[in-house]
Amino acid sequence: MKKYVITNASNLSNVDYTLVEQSSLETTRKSLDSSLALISFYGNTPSFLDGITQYDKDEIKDIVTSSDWQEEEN
Amino acid sequence: MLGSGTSISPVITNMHNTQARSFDGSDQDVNVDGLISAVAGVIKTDETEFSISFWCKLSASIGATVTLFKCRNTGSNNNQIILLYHASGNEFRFSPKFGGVVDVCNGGSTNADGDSYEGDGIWHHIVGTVSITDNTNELWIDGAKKETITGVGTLNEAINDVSLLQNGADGSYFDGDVKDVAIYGRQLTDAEIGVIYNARGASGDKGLDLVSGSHVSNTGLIAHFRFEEKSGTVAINEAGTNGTYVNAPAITTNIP
Repeated sequence: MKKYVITNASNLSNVDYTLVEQSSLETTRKSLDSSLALISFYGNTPSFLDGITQYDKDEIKDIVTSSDWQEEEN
Repeated sequence: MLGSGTSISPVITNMHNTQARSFDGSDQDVNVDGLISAVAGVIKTDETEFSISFWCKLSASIGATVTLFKCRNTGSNNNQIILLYHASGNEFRFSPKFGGVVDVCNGGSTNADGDSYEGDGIWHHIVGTVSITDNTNELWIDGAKKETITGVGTLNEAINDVSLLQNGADGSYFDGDVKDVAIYGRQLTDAEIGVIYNARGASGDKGLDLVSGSHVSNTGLIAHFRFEEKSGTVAINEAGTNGTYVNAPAITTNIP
């Protein structure tokens, strides 16, 4: 099952993009204020994400469709 | 609409319907920046002739509005075309907005079986058209015309941004499966829309071309993504500049 974490954007320099689903720093989704970032992965938790709360798809969608992450679509 | 009532028979072409792509609604889309000039070339002041043909199957947990396609001028919200699924309205909507005048074509909240589109497990064929010639905007779902709005506004800013499966501002990411997406610089005829819808294979292995080819003219085709790539990040556009899969949308063999 795919797992998702929200990490501080300042930690993105520690991310090994060969171990996560995101392609690169440039394609990693950030919150509207750019303070947070979304990372996802399958299987074992990469060490650089240890200790960070993990979410399933429904849980992460509740987060990233909130007003902190996107503007309302008309 | 032009061509109504014309009989066109679908034909079997090469195996173009073997897989689709699944997008999880979090951060996956197809970067189509390379389409901007082509789309801007057909959405022009007093000259717009435009169609988008889109196959999709929605997730069971949409939750929030998701974007299928959007093109716009980033300088304001006054000139854009959006095809989306509106979560609270429970319906597909096609919304051309030119010169600040928006026309919202509504698709209705239930499918042909009377069920919600969300999680119905059914592939749907969505078509939006804009025609200056006919002075109409239309939304079609599964071969049926859902709404026609007469009166196309006047574009007063050039299109400079095109997004597929998100809203162009890293939001409203699509959640579900997607198959052949095509964009035309012309209005698809009623007959052509019906042919494309009926090209779906009940068994999923008929290899019918879900957009174009020998049964629907390629005239005006500016983009056609089949999502048939077996690996890699390139989303092949058979009619123009390729796109790029962003953040690894999964391959699925569940197809229309």
